[in-house]
Amino acid sequence: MTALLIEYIWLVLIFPLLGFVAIGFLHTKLSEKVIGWLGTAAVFLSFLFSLILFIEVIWFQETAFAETRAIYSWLSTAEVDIKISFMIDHLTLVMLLVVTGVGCLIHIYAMGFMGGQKGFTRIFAFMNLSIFFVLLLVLADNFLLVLSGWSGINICSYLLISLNYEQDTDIQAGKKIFIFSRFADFLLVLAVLFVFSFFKTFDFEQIFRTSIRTISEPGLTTTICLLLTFAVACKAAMVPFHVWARDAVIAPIPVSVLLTGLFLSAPSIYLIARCHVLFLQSPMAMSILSIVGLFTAFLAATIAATSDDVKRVLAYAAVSQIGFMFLALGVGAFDSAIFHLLTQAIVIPLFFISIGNLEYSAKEIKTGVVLRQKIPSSYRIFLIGALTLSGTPMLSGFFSRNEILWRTLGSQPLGGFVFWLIGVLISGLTVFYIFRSFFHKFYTEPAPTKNPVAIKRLKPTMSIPLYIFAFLAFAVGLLGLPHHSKLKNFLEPVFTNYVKTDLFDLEPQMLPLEISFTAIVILVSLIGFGFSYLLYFVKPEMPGRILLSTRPLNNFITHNWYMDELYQSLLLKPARYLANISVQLIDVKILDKIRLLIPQYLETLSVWLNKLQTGLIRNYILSFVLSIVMIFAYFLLKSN
Amino acid sequence: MPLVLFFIFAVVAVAAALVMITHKNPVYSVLFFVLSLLAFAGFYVLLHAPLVAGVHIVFYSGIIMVVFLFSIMVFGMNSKGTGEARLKNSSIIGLVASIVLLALFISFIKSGVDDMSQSLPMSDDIKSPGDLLFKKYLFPLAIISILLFSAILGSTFLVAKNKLKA
Amino acid sequence: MIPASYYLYLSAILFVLGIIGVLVRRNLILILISIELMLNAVNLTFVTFSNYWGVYDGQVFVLFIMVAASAQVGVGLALVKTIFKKKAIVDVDKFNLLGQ
Repeated sequence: MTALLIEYIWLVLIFPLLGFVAIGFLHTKLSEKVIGWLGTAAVFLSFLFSLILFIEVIWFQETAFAETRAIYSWLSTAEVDIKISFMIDHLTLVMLLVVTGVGCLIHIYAMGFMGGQKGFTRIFAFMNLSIFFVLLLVLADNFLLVLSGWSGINICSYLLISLNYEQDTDIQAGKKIFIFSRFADFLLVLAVLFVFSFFKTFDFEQIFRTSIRTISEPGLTTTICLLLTFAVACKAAMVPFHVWARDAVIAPIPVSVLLTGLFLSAPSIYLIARCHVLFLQSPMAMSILSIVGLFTAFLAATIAATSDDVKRVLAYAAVSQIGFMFLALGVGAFDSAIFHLLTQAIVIPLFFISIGNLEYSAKEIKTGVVLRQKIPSSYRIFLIGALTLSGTPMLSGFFSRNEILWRTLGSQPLGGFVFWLIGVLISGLTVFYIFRSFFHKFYTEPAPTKNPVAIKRLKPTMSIPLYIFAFLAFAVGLLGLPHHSKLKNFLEPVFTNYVKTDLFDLEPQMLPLEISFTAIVILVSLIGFGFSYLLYFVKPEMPGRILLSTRPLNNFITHNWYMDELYQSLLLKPARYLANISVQLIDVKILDKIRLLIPQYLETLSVWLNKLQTGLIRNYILSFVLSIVMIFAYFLLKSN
Repeated sequence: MPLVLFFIFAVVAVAAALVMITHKNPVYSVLFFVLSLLAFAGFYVLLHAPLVAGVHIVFYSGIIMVVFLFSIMVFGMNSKGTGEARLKNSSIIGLVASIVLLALFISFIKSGVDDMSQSLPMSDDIKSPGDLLFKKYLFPLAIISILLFSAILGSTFLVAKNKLKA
Repeated sequence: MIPASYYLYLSAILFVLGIIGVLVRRNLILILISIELMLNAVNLTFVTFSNYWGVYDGQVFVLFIMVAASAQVGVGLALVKTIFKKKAIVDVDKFNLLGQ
């Protein structure tokens, strides 16, 4: 028996779209409260629908569940038939739940945080629209629909980032993101075109089947996979495109949460997990994927470790964790990547929301003990987040990241070990930087202020999502217990459907080895914590001295590894130079002359023509008759 | 017999038209034009189009020409200062152009296959065109009545507005 | 039987006479009448061809043209009357507001 709700799968999409349309068109008539609840309800209905579908599938479905439902024939020719059709399998279900669930909580939070601010209606309209596009991408069963959803997410990110369109920094950040995402688009379009030119279809199902059955050219598959990898890397702010991650946090907190928590990771990781069949045929693309991921994880961790702005630290923490997901994808641990995506989609919002609450309640105070005393909820939640992120046992981050590391170790004999070692190092670094900013935020002695600190009370809409996220940070880990992973079992049919080679075997007899390796990870993490504690809690003056002695290195890292400057000198400067040349040469010397010449000639012509206009009806009729004569003469001559 | 009639009508029509465009007094011009129109009605009868002939006489010779005469008389446009056919340069060019056009027309008709003396048989009734008008051309008929109606409204508006200002 | 080409020659002559009238006369009303003459020449062609082919569509077209002509006369005369009231002229050569 198939799930009943599957026939109405388009409802999931339609709710956020309706929400967007309703808010977009009726915003002048509705009050702020109604708009907020409308936007939230739209996403919540989608969530509810996905949840019911999910429960239906779990309870009533014995075998693996994978269905496609076409709702509309988009483009039908003799060669290709493109349908708007949705593919629902276990992976899709998980993604639906993550996107709508986290999206819904962020909507609730935005209601509180954005209350009374400018751009309230716009943020809700755009958030609904962006949820719609992510869902479209997740549900799509062909590459063209994926492309639509993908581009939609891009435009939504742009709109959301430049929400305060009066502020120059926001506009610049929006532009930057837009350019980067267009580049990602370009790569994805190329990949899709390659796919089409080879497989003659856009359908996932057919592409995967064909790619297995025929001995496809390895070069072509690798090209497609590499293009996909770089498109996704650009989208997820991987190296060398990581420079735009810090711009994602310029916008208001709900936007930052949505971008870093969902839009950075979900579409990218999902897309690669969806195309795992192609990737498995190209070992080179896989290893590049993992190298990119690992390098990004390291690079972002170093940047996060030197940054003083908490939001920026968090943005790079998110990027670093996405690097881990890439690593997992690269070593073939697709379900672990999804698991990590799930935990990070909870942890990152957790951080951002607690920081957002601090910002909301005490705008003037950036750091200090006061925050800890006056707003204990934020303090505690941030601590939970930090513990989760750093991989404290029994919290969700622990399970997901350790699984990735363990799988990495098992993937290849030598490379796997190197990757694992670097991964462990990054884990230590992660603990270091997250506690560094934790101590920095809550334990530094603030400069004494004269006026008493005004603390705004948090609205319930702001604290409730926080507690839900905190609860989830504990609970989600239980889904992915090693060797008893519910999530893995649930996802397994998706990843073994096409390819029978089993990359997912965790051999039970290696348990002692696994435990000892895990112990090493924990040890390294503890060392990281120890450093952080020592430097920023016990001896807060130490870091300054260390910084002095390692200034060049520090500069290097805080400048995003000079990647911005690289882009400046490689792309922007030549472009500006070209623009200048074309202004001076083409515009001024050629186009302007033509521009000035045309009106001159026109004027002479018009003065001359003006004399024809006598205003006498007789003359007009005469010209009329003369033209009839000419036309007649022409046809007569032509016929003879 | 029809050929004789045709030539009589043709001479009348052309002569009346010539007088119409040359006579100094507009009233006479109009009257000669009416004569020319009557000759047209004769052609229509010869061409087995009695309905057109009838409508033509009632409509053109009757109503339209009376309206012309009426307006000339009422507004006194036949006074001496107006209506003199003095030839100007542009008029001469026009005359030449018209004659060239006539030559073109004639050579055009001559270039046809024959003199088209064999026409298909046709009954003389007014039922057939009436049928056609109210069945096949019902929609154009409706459109053209809207045109006529708007023309009535337009001319009424033009005149009434003038009256309001005066 | 009268050849149809005779009618065509005749209507050509009458049409050109109408054009001459339009081009030569200066009285606005006479210009309008000349246009009527041209229309009638065209009507004659229509009826001629209707007779030649043995179909009635040409006659119906003539009826339509008559209606259009009457509409034209109505509006034209109203315009002439308006101009006459304002300027007291019917001479087209003295009426060249557009060229001034």
